[in-house]
Parts: sequence; structure tokens; C-alpha cells
Amino acid sequence: MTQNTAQVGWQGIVVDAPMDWSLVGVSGDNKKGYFRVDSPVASALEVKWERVSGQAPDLMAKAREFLNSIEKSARKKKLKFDKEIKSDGDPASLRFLWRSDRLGQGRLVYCEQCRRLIIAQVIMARDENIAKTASQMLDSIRDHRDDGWLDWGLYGLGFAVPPGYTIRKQTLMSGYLALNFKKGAHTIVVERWGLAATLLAKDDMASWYRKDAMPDVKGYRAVAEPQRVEEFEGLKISGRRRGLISAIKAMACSLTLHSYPDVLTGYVWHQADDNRLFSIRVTHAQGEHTAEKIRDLVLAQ
Amino acid sequence: MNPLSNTIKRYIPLVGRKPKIERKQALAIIPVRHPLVKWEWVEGEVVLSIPMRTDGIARVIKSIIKATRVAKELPEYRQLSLDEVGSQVWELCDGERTIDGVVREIVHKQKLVRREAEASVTMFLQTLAKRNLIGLMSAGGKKSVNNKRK
Repeated sequence: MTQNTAQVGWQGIVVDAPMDWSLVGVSGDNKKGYFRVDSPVASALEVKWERVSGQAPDLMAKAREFLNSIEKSARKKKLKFDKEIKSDGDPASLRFLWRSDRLGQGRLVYCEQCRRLIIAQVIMARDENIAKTASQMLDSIRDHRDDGWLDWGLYGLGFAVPPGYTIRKQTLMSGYLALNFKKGAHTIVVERWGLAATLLAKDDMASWYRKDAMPDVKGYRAVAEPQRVEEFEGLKISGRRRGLISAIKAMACSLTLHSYPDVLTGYVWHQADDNRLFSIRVTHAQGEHTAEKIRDLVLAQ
Repeated sequence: MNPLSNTIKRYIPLVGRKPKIERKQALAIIPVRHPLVKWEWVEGEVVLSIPMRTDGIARVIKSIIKATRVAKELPEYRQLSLDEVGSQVWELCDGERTIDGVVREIVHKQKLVRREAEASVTMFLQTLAKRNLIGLMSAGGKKSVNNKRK
């Protein structure tokens, strides 16, 4: 990834898009879904994926089917339509191009490991010359990591979560992003605030976090202690399970082979140069270091 | 568009579609502060002094209030305090910068992602325009998009 690009992606499928391109729409889940990334002008990258059961799909037939659907809607509008499908030198990948009132440049990829078929295309306005950028974005599509974790990326926030976690809730607001993941009783919450200087204008970081984020921590007795996160001013959140309901759930869990998340670990830090605050909170079993790994992935961005 | 059809569309709902503006055009619009709205920086935030209405309805309300002696005198201005980012946006609405220019400045000053800044700035400008605190001038500079302002 170059300095001018950022990881954008959903459900493990990521691309390196220019910094000023933004995720504008997401839908679906790990098996079937879609996301769209818009340029600051009029172009957009669309990515669709679908889990394929049985044998590997015929990519040429899928590409034709996809282009036919675009052609059909162009013909309805009485627009000219040209299309071209090209081999990518890899049996698991194909490239395509189409020209109508706009230009389309795309790629089909089938990953045998994830068993997902990905169709990605960059739709460009005719007066916007971004063919090179489009190629670079399409080249950068990745759908799995070597460690099995699932990549996520949006608005410059990139990280990964361990396998098995599914997204439960997302809050994508201007100046505040939050992604909540769940795997049984285990949870991961990744948050980012903009306008950090304003948020910390009246309170120190610990007081602000206590007021703003701690009320969301339920079922754990947590404390926040100052601790630097790399070179940034930060907090470490440590907590233990509390309450009768948690105890009952833990007892129920002990009857199964699943571990109950007895511990809560979190990290909060202030990147003053970016005017942003980050928070990672993970509930986990003793001895796991998921929070630390996610923190390091966020910091590496 | 002739003035008659404009008037009909303004007063009869569902008659005529709202004009669609492309994003590129919308970003080229120039927000202009209303000249009658006074403003000043107070402790890092902009405080707007908005003149009270002086039309017939306002005069009737004033006379009722005076007659019932609810208040001795009504203020000529009402005040509205903007938050930090709102204040910066207000200051940037200098009649020369486009919305795109305002967004860029906010991205630079607040280190926001372009999309985040664009969404909040445009929403805020829409609110200001609805309250007639700013006018929105099309790129040519002649025609006010927010032609409700009298």
C-alpha cells in the first residue's frame, strides 16, 4: 500500500483506494454482500461478492452475465454499449471493460480458499481520466489474510478481527465511527472519534472516556488507567466480569466447550496530529491478546 | 422556468419536481452570510445576532405582548451561538468560497475525512439556509439558489 492510499473494505474484502475516496454504502454479510467507494468527483468503485457452493464457477460465463445486465439497462436508455472481456493471465481472475455514457473497468476474482466470487468494477465519468487509478485499485483486491483474520477498512481506519466474529452493529457518523463484532459471548468494539481537540477541550482523556464510552461497558467492572500507546497519550481499560447474569452465563458456558469472556481489555489513545481518538475494547478469556493485536493493526495504518 | 409556474410549485405541494442538482454543481455553490445578521467571536465561538421579524404578524404579536404587559420591550435581535466547527464554517461563508472550498478548509483544519466533512458542512449549510441566515449563490454569482430570502 502506498502513502496516498488507504485500505477500504468490508467483510474481509479490501482494496487500496486513494485517500480521498470514501466508503458510501455497504450491505450483506460474509457470504453475499456489496460495498461502494466514491471518488470526490463522479467515479465509483463497486464490489460485490458471493459465496459459491460446489465447484468453481465459470468466470467467463459470470462476466458475460454481469455485462449483459449492464448492457440491458444501457439499451433501455437507448445508449450505445461496447464491452470487452480479457484474460488476466490467472485462471481465477478475469478483466472486463465497457463503454456507454460512462466507462467501466472491472475484474472478476474467484478465491478457492474463501470460495467467494468477487466482481469489482470502477465506473468512471467520461471526462475523468482515472484509468490508471482504477487498474491499481482492481489489482489491490484482497479477500483473505494469511493469518485467517478478517480485514475491515473505512475512512482511513483499517484493522482486522479474528475469524468467527461477525459484525453486530455499525455506526458510521460524521466524526464518529464504531464497529461492534460478536462471536458468542465474546465482543470486539472498535471506535474512532474525530474533532478530538473539541472533545478533550474541557475534560482530560480519562474523564471524557468515563463519560462518553464507559456507559456502554455492561457486565464488566472496568477501570481506566493512563498508559501510553506507542508515542500517543492513552489509557488502558481493564475489567472483570461482574453481576449475576454474567455469572449465570459463565456457568452455562462452562458446561459447553466454549470459553466465557471473563476479562475486558481495552486501549484508548489520542492521535493529536490527526485530531482523532481511538478505542479498542475486547471481552475475552484469560491469556488472549486480541485487543493488543487489533490495536497494533490500527496503529500500523 | 417562468415566475407563474414557480409560484404554483411553491404553494401547491406535489406540483412539479424538485430540481435535481448534481454533486459537482452543489459543491460549486457559494454560501453568503445574510448582511443583516451581525456576528462576533465570543470565547472561541461565533454568536449570531439575528434581527427580529418586522412584518405584519410580528407587529401584531408585539402589540399583544405590549398590551398584556408580558414584557416591557421586545429585543430587536435574538442571539444564536454556534459550536466550534459551526463557527469556522460561518466564518468561511464569505461570499467568495464555494461549498467545496469550505469543505476543504474544514478537512484541513479539523483533520476530518473529506466525506465526513462534506456531509456535516452541507447539512449545516442547509440548516442555515432554511433559517435564512445564509443565501446560496450559484457558481455564476448572479442567481440566488435560496430565492426564498426577501
